[in-house]
Amino acid sequence: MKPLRAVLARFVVGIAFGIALAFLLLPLLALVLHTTPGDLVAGLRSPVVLDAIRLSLITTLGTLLLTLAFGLPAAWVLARWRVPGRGLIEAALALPMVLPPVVAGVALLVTVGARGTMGPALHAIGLRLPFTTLAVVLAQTFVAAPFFITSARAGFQALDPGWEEAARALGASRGYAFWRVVVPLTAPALVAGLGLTWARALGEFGATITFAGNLMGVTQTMPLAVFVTAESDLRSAITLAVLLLVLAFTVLAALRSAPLPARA
Amino acid sequence: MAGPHGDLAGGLSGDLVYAAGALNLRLSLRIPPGATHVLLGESGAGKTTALRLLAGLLRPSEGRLELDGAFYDDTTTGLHRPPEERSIGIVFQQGRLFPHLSALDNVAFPLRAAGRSAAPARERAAEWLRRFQIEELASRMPADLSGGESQRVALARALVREPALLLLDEPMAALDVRTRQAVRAELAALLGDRRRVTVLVTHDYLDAAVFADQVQVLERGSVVQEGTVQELVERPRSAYVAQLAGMNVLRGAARMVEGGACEVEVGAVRLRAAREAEGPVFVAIAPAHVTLHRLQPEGSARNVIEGVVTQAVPMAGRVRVTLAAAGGLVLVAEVTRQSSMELDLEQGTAVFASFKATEIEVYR
Repeated sequence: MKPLRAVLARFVVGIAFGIALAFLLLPLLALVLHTTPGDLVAGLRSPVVLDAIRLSLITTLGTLLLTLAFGLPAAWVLARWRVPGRGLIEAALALPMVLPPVVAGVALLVTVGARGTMGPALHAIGLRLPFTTLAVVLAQTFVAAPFFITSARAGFQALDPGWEEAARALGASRGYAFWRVVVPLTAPALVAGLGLTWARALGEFGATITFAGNLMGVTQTMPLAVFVTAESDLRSAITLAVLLLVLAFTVLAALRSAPLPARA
Repeated sequence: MAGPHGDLAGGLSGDLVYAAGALNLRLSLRIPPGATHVLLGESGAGKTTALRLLAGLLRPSEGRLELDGAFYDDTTTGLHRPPEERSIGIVFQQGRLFPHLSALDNVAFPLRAAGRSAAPARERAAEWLRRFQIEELASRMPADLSGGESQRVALARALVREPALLLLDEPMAALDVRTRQAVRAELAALLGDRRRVTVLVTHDYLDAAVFADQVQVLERGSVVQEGTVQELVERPRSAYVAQLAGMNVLRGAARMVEGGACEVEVGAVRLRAAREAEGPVFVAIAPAHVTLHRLQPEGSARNVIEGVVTQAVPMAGRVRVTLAAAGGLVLVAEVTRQSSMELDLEQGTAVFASFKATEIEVYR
């Protein structure tokens, strides 16, 4: 009775799919159902919430800038240069993506913390990183930049070098060819990478709280504020949580609907 | 102003060596202003590498390159000018119009890259589109252009800076046959009207025939033959050129005989030619000069080769017949449709091919 078995198999797989979906989505749905628009508006008046939102926007923007400034050249080098030990370098660069964020925070502490390897040197030039907003940006960048580098590198690698050559042969300097031809042609990969990095930075918790601490208005980003208010002020916690949920969903949905990289 | 090597007033002069991996390219170019030089060869012969060397995308392993008195490469002094410092324009095989720019912005690209601001660059680009009578394509994106339109835009883009050297990389290859003819005619009308030097690389003999003032045939990185198209066709020096030109070319050993003639031993066959020659030679026979017979022909003035028909391809008013003879010898004959029918030629037919001693070209 093949057909009956096939129907049964379909049924079982369908049920499994339904359970998976419910397990992943129900808590998120509950979060949204647990709040009303009135609650949200009220939550948005809380200074803890406002400070956290402001700080999260500033620090994630800083993270994006830092990621672009160093990640773009890094991705280009990995994609186009002959780098010895490329495989190892790429594995190492992907490490922060899979490392527990707390470990990343500790790693940053022992590197650029007051008593870290580079701490005294930084102190000598008057730079104290831990427990500052800059530390938040560093923690987020450390954890989130690899998403951009990975995506951008893949985008550059997939681009036919003939396009750069065409631009160069038509009189473009290396820089002009990069900005006016390579970047537009790899824009989908670059934007996708930036989106993932931003979403990851926005949700960053472990590395931030370990390395930058939890000071309202200075290092207390939205996830940290959710953690703190969850015990004392559930309404604020839910407001922030819903906001984070909406932002993350928006980014992912936008990335999914983005056009695939052009293969001309 | 001519350079120190300059036996030419302007134009292109270069001796370039490029060795990388299996390819060992050696080029020696002397192209007067206004001339079109064709590099003809099969894929893998080094044509595209040659073009990339001229464009400055590659650094020669050895040699020098001079255009209109300005040195672009000189490995003795370490001079290598990057592409943006060369007066070049280039058209690629598949057009390579930038897909994110409109036709107009594609044409304006070389001007913008050279630092011209947007408005004047676009104005200039628009002029070139008008010159090619494609101004209505200005706002179209490359994805919405046909093959022929793309190549016209690409040509405008290559010429917009009025370069001293125009490089064409198989510019017809991606076009369908009809468009190819139209674009070829336009391009032919455009080339050679000024001081500009044009270098075209192609595997298409017709491109060479239409455009070339001078042709170099490349095989595995080396120039195996050089001359006008006429010279190439009459005296091919390789199987590749012979095939392109539709000539029979055989290699053999010549021995003088009395009366200003010679005998050439080609494998098992001995041919008589009405020319003086001695030693290793090429023998060229035009297919139209080969006559076919079912019975052994009489008359000592003719060379006769016995063979079997391997292929008979009908052409306009004629039939192109390929024969296989003893010793792996292959001969092509072109006969009229009439005689093909009379001889009842088909694959496997045994025939005698004959040609006059006066119709054989013998050369070293």
